[in-house]
Formats: sequence, structure tokens, C-alpha cells
Amino acid sequence: MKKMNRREFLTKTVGTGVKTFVFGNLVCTTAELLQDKKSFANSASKKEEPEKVIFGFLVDTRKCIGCGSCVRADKAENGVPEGFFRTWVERYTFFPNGRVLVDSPKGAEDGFWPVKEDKERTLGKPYHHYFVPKLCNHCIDTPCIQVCPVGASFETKEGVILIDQKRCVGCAYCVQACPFGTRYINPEKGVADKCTWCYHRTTQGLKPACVEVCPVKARIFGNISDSESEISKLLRDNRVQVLKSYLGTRPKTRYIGLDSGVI
Amino acid sequence: MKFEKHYGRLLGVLIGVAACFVYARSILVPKDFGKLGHFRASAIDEIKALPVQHVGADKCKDCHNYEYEQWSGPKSLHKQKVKCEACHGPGGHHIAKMNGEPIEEDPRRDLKVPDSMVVCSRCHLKLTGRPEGQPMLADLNKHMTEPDGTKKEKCVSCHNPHTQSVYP
Repeated sequence: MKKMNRREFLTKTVGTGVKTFVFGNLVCTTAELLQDKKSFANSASKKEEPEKVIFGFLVDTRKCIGCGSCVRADKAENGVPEGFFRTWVERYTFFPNGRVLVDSPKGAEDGFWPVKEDKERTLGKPYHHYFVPKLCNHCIDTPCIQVCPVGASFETKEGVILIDQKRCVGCAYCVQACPFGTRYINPEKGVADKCTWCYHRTTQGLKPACVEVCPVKARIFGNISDSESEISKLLRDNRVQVLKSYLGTRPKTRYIGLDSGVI
Repeated sequence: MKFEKHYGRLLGVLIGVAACFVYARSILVPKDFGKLGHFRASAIDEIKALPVQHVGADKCKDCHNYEYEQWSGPKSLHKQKVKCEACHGPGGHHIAKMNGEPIEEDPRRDLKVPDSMVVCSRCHLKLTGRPEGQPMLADLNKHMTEPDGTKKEKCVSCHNPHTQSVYP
């Protein structure tokens, strides 16, 4: 190898560095410009596309009577195995001294029974009680999609979180990640499973099974990007809350009439 | 140089490893993975194609017109609120069977309402937590005893389950 003195070495290295920098920048800028042009063309064509659909779900806890129709309908519609639930109903009973009793016998599949007398004797007379139906919250910032190692959990363009059960390996990371406990491992298939807001029905223009059978309209489903839909109007006119807002998952299932005792 | 002859071999090994990686990836990763995001794009269509079980009251009307008329008539209390499938269960299985499609018998989906006492109580039993305005029965025993002391067996002994009004 030819020996190089210090001057030659410095001019060569600095020269090459400058050339690379200038050329690289040129390439990048051109690429960016091209991409801008492309995205501009895309945004122009998007305007002609049909109107956007973002699904939303609203639960009115003031109306729920705890009959469990939704739980039974959901189990029948989606073939949920015995002992597991995609949706369930909890009853919150508030006693004096801040004691709260939460019960959900068999996920309310057979409805509820009056609160036991011995509970009333030890805890006092309940002053406030209501039912809270629970289901997948279809969060905007989902913990469950983030932890999936194989890309089996995903979000559709309608904002629904789904599970690709052929892809799922059943590692149950998502079951642990979900702070609402809505996911479970299906013992028959060995894969994760959860509420899909009945994606096979809603994409055909039907309502989810639980909404369809609810006798008191405590569950409302619809397109929240359409400002004239029933759910958009209810979301506008009511004080709406989500579960565990402090976790920052930004749930898309909203509730009317919750208070801080509900977790 | 001493090691020059090894460079060719090393390059060969590296190319081999890269080729194996590319080949394995092409087999293991589904073709439509990553098309719409970090997931298999065809999974959406697979989920969309799942069978619909709750078909809606309008489908029931096609055959059970008499019951539908009763339910949607002026005397009915459940009209348009409590739909057929809320008490009977989903009708998709029943329709497929009636259309002659080969389908397994499933006793859970034969649309028989188990017992009116159980089914009606789910909504109409006086219960802690139910909102006001819901028609509820606090004392079932009293309600089901006639003034002359005879006891009725079931809700449907007096009430027509499709209109909820008392039989004339």
C-alpha cells in the first residue's frame, strides 16, 4: 500500500465527507419532493371517496336493567365458550362508608338476583346502585396491539380492534396487557379472543348482537364520523365518560352515568 | 496477503445466509402481511365472512306472521323494543335448518323459550339496581295468587307472551 502523508489524508477524508453530505442531501430532498407530490395527489383523490366510517359504542348505564340479554346474545352470536365472556354486566352497589359491592354472577348470563340480605345487614342499606355493561373498549392507543409479537392484533380502518386467529400463537401477552380484562384465551381454539363489536354484522349494516337484543336501548352503536347519527347526537347531548381514563388508552366505548366508584 | 483467499469464502457464506433468510421469510410471512399495516390483510375479510346468527324480527315475519302481527299490534307492550330474538335466541340456525341446509342439531338454538317464569323475571323481577320506570314485580307470590286463593303456575298462564296483555 502507498504511504500517505497527513495533508493528503486530511484533504481526502474531508473531501469525501463533504461530497457524501451534499449528494445525500440532494437525494433526500428530491425523494421528499416526489413524496410530497404523491401525497398531494392522494389527498386530491381522497375527496371523491365515500364518506369515512368510524364506529363508536355508547353504554347508557342509567337505562340498563341487568337482564343479561346482551350476554346471552353475544355468546350465541360468536360461539363464546362456557365460562368466558366477550361482554358481561356488573352491578355496582354503593353502601354507606364508601363501601362498594360489585357482583356479576356468571357474567349476568342468567340475569341478577336481589343483593343478599346478609350483605345489607353488615354493610348497611345501599343508597345507590346501577348496572355497568362491560365490553372491549377498542382503545385508540391500545396496549394489546403494541404487545403482540406476531402482528395478530390490529386495527381496521373503522377503528375496530380485531384478532387474526390464524396468526395468533396464543402467548396471552395481550390478555395481560388489556387493563379492562376483555381478552381471554379461547380454550377450544387455543388463541386469543375478544369482542369485535360484531364486525361481521356491522360491516353489513347490521347492529352488533348485543345492541340488537337490548330491550331498553342501553347500548347504542353507530358511526361517530357522521354528525347526524344517533350515537353522535347522544355523545353531544350527554356527559360522557370512559373507563380508566387515567391509563391514557383513549377508549372508544363511552359510558353515560358512571361515577368514580366504577373501575 | 495471508488471509486474502478466505475473503471469497466469507463472502459466499454471507450471501448464503442472506439468501436463506430471504427464502425463509418468503415462506413464513404471509403474502398479504403488511399490505394495510402490521397484520395479515385477508384476516379482515375472514372475520367479515363469519355467519350472522341474529337475523332480526323482519326475517321471523316471513313465516311467523301471526306472532309478528300480535307483537307489533296496538295491544303489544314489547313492540319494537323487545325483539323476537331477545327471548327466543338467535334465529340464524333455525332458518338455515328450515332452508334444508345441512347443519348440526343444536339444542341451545332451537328457539324454545325455557320457562316463562325464568325469562320474564330477567327483566321484571324487583331488583336492586334497576332504574325507576322499569315495570317490576316486588311480590311475585301475591301477584300470582288470584283473589279466591288459587295460584297461577306461570306468567304465560295469564299473559300472552307476544302482546304481554292479559288473556281475555
